[in-house]
Amino acid sequence: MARKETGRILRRSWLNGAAAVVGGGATPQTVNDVNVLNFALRLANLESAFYQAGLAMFSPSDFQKSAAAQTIGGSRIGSDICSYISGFQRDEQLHVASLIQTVYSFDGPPQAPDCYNFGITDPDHFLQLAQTIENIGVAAYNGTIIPQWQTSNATVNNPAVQALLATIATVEARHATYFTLLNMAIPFPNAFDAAQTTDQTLAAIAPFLVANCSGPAVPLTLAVAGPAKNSTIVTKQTSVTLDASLSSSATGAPLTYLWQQVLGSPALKILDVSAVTTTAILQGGPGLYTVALKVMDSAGGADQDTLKINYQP
Amino acid sequence: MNKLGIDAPGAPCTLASRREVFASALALVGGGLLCAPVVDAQMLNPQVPPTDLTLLNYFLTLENLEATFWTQGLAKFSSADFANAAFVQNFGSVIISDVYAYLCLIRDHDAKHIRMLKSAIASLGGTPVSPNTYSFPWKTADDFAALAVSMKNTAIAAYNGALYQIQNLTLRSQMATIATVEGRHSAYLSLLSGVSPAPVSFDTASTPSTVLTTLGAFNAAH
Repeated sequence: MARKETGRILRRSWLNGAAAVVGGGATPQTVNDVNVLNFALRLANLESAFYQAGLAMFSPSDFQKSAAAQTIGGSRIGSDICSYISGFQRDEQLHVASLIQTVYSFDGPPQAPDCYNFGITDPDHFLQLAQTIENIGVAAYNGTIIPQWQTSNATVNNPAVQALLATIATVEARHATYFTLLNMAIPFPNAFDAAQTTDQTLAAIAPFLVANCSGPAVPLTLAVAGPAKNSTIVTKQTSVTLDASLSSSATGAPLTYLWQQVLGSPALKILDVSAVTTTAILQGGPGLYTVALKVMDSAGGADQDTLKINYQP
Repeated sequence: MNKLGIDAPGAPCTLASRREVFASALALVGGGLLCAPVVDAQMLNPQVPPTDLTLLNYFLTLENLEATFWTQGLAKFSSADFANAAFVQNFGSVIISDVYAYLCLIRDHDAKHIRMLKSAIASLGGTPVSPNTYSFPWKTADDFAALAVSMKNTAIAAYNGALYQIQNLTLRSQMATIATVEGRHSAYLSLLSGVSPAPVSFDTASTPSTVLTTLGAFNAAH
């Protein structure tokens, strides 16, 4: 978008923003920090679900064989795509976790995720959609989330919380840049990024949402084994890291962990069943192993997740 | 093939932007001789919330240094230097053929950030800070690229640490649209350096005193 257009949108945004609506649509909400955080959370949930959907559909070699990777060539780009995208998925999970914690710290209820329909067809389509979705995020942060973030709340005198949304926005821009480059466009086409209003953002994400459908309410305690819930790890090694560090308690209550081999899985040995991060030794030869993670918090909340390990030496 | 219309290694970035850069390079040298103060005492006092004008001049201090970094670096190293640099060698001809043009584009973006900041400062009735003179410890295009990543990450940390303090919300939004472009520049440079374009889940947010201390290392007078 040309700078002039961005300027116009900004002015329009602030003139029309009179009612200053976050959430927008039929049920206008007052701008307050909880609503601003929940708007950011809504986008982070969408992005996280998008990466999860793509990573469940495509393997590293699918990405390596994509037209994008083949066109760009070289020995590096194609082989890194899947691991970089897995990292982005982790970024989004951490954004979700951090935003939920912050909503709770402002005494607000976190908004449940939407239901999604991304319609991903192949790896190249996924890479195109990823560019679109991340750019929606960037424009929403620049036009709505960052300017509407008041932090005037007397309880907030914490620069890490005050700067939180900005530190997410630049990461969204990094993600967008990567996909733009893979899609053979100029990775930073303008000196100034776009800034969009709440309504513009809601219109932009609408194609990815199932109307009148809300996902499960945010659990107070969240168990995450690996990079995301219900992950599958592919490995050539008999020693695998089990990582529950993305698990969280919305109330901030301390967590305890329990790793267990699931009935029917080939034999494996878990070195420390109660550690947040530990190692599993795969003892049953090549095959699909399954590990369960139970997470409990000291306030009585609990959640469970399953990690599959595909051992193909 | 090149998306910016630059089709041969060694070609100037573009005639128009080149002229612009020479002009701004001269301005930078001239301003540097004045050795104007770039650190505002109020900015460094955490007890006094900075005014929007103070913050704009803080961003300008940062962008002035960045602009000099890019102008000097791209004057010193040619497109052939970058095409032959170690850091690009595993990326294939498509990526390599674009590197120099994209580095020039980063330089041009920073020049536009400066123009915007100066005009915003003037519209608030303020006086834009003058650039200092800087020196950068690079010997090769690889040195330049490595330093460029950390320079961009410093810029991101500066914007992220100060955006929420801008009182005028239109201005805050405009500054955010610069911060995310700095994020894009850094992502590209990170990728070329062989790490993820988004190496951390949350970018850094730094205080002005931390940023100005980091940047002080490049002041020629020191």
